[in-house]
Amino acid sequence: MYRSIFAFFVNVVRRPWCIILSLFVLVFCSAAIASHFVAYALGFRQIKSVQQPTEPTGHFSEPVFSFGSSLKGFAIDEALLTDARGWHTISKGCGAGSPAEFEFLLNNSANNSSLIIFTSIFEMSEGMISPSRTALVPFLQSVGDTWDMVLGWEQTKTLLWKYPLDSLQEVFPTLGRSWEVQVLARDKIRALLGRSSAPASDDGPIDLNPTSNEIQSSLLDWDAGRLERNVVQMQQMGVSLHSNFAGPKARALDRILTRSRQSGTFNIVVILPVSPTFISRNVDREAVNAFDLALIKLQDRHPDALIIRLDNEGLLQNDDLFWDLVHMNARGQASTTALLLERLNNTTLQK
Amino acid sequence: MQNQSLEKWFLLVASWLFYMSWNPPFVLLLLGITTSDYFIGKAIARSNKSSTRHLLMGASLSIDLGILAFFKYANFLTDQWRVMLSLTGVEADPVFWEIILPAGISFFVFQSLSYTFDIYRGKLSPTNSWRDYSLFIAFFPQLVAGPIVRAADFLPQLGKRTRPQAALFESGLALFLLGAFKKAVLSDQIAPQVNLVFASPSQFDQITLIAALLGFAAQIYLDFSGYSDMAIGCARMMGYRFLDNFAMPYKSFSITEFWHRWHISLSTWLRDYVYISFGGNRHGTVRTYVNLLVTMLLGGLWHGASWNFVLWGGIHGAALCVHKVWCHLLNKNPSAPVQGFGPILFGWSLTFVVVVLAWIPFRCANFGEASQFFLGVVGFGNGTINTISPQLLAGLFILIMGQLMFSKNQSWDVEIPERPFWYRFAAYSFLAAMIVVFGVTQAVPFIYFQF
Repeated sequence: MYRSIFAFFVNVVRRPWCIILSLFVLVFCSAAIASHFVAYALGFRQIKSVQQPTEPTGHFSEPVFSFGSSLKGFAIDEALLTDARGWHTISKGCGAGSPAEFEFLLNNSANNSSLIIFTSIFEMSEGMISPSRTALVPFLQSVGDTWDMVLGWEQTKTLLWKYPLDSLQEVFPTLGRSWEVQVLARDKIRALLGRSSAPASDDGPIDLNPTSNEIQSSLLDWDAGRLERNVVQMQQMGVSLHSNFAGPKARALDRILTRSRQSGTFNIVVILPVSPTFISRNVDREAVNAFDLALIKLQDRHPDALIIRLDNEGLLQNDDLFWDLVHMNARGQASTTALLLERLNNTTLQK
Repeated sequence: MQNQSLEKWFLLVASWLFYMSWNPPFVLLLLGITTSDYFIGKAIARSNKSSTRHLLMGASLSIDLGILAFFKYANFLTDQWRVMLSLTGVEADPVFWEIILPAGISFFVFQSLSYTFDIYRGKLSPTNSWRDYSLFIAFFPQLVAGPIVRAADFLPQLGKRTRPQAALFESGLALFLLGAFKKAVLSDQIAPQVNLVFASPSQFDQITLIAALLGFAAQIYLDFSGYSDMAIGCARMMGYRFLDNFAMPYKSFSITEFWHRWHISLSTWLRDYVYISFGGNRHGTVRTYVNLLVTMLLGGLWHGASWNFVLWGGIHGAALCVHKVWCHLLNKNPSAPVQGFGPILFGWSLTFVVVVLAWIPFRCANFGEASQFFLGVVGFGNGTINTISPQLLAGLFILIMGQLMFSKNQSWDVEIPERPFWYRFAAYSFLAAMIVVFGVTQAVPFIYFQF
């Protein structure tokens, strides 16, 4: 009997479709193993969001929630800001974060807290999708925000397609991250050969929340080839001409400001500058006007919110203040923080 | 039978939904062309009078080419009309219509036209099933970027549906993996460098321009053949056999051979329905060359509404004519294989240089940029920036190695199911691993989607 069962089993396994199925399963598994191995060997990091509270320094009892991406981390000396204003700040953010992600980093307790949201034309562009979007924003929320095709069919598809793609990254952690793979591999090889790393700004993951900004280099140090490569890379990330500023991100910002409009709290939206080179190469006049219009409408809808536009400050329109196309160096941070403090000091907040 | 019918309806609806994912309203255009040519085909076959057949064929041509002309060439034609008027001293305001180009329109219009043409010529009997004809046109693997499938090849397969065999399924899977590797790993990694240089060629030095040009030659081949492989592989997995669309064209020893290996479905379509319709080689030598040149000019125009594409077609047409003259002088058949080390080396080099240089007008946005690029490539440019990405070099290296490893008449995807299990496992695992580790998943559209 056992012999006949064995013979039957062998007969089934030898069938062509069975072989193909087993081949498919083995190939799938080997690809997943290869992907996990590469991610492990190169030291992949998947930081979805960061939270960093500062020590309470002032007389305010409620915390001030501060939201932003790496742009904020490099542009604003938050310790100096909270110390000068006497705030107890809880800082939250994610890579290339926008109000669409910040909305879900808020928790219910923030409804009666003050908010300061740092964003920019770069992050508010609907073409720019944060790597943390799918982890923080539920799929149904994105469907609801794009149901009326405000983004257009192509951008809606791109956004919604990220959800299954990011789920596949659980099985294949390197899927869709070939740029990161190549950068980390290059750095590993350089380290093995005893060479220093490539210029930091060319590529690679950026520290979301640097403890201090001591970078002295600037865009003016870049050669033309490096500039062109980075501009093209930025364009391919989806931050491009004719940006849309009326989609899910703008709607999320609306909801945040509406929800947190409580007596005794303040809402501040700070528009951070990006480099003049970024504006001239990646954003056309139409998009700049659309962004201006979006902010005017936002102010109309939320007259109690304070919108501080540092992106229009002539003093900050200087490539020498940026170490890459959008992140500020130490000089940029000092100037931007000082300007922000000056604007806050000249404004009467509710608290 | 009932299962077959359900299966075909399922495929048809799935294909329509696939097309709607690009732009939902345009599925009506697809249905319109399908329905009109289906009934015109039946009417042509029923008619005995040649004048009626001419009229019906004319109707099919008018509807199909008219739709294609509107969506693809309306702005180009109005702009050319304005230019012509200005040459006579009449100034007209420029007119620009916001017309969305439906995905794959050039492909499915040609596919539908081939059906009515074959019926008109008596080579094909019309199908009695609107569903089968709709599936022939809308079949999702080849709908938006070819290959341009002939009704004579596909409709009989739909008629006598058989279950896919294991070997055919595996062959399709191998081809699909290979296509995805070519597109996602090789072509999309090369694309940024190519885009960078072609965006403003005057800035870059000669080496960078040459590298970018070779990169584009590699990119368009890998992108388009990769998509074709995926389409043919996908169809094969479902049990349908399509003809190959590419057969290592960069290993061609003559321009004639190149066109037997590059975008085979289009080149055979142009030969059968344009070149032969104009008379082919039946009206003397001079007329043959004229027919060949006009066919290639129209083939260039098919790629896009721009004189750049016409120039590209013209270069290839001129090269084909020169090759014909050369073979005529040597008393050789242009399609005969080239033999001898010297002739092979000379033939391959010349063909490769002509084909690669012809990509300049194809890729550049206008004549100005194309001439700037050309001057830069031959050493008369003023650019100084030197930047060549390692991805471009790696992509070129892998492509060259692949061309050297495999014979140009070899079909790896057909042979592989015969290989040992360990070989197949290693090959598929390598391709799959490369795709998940190095594959680019950001939206880098297939180049031929724009056609």
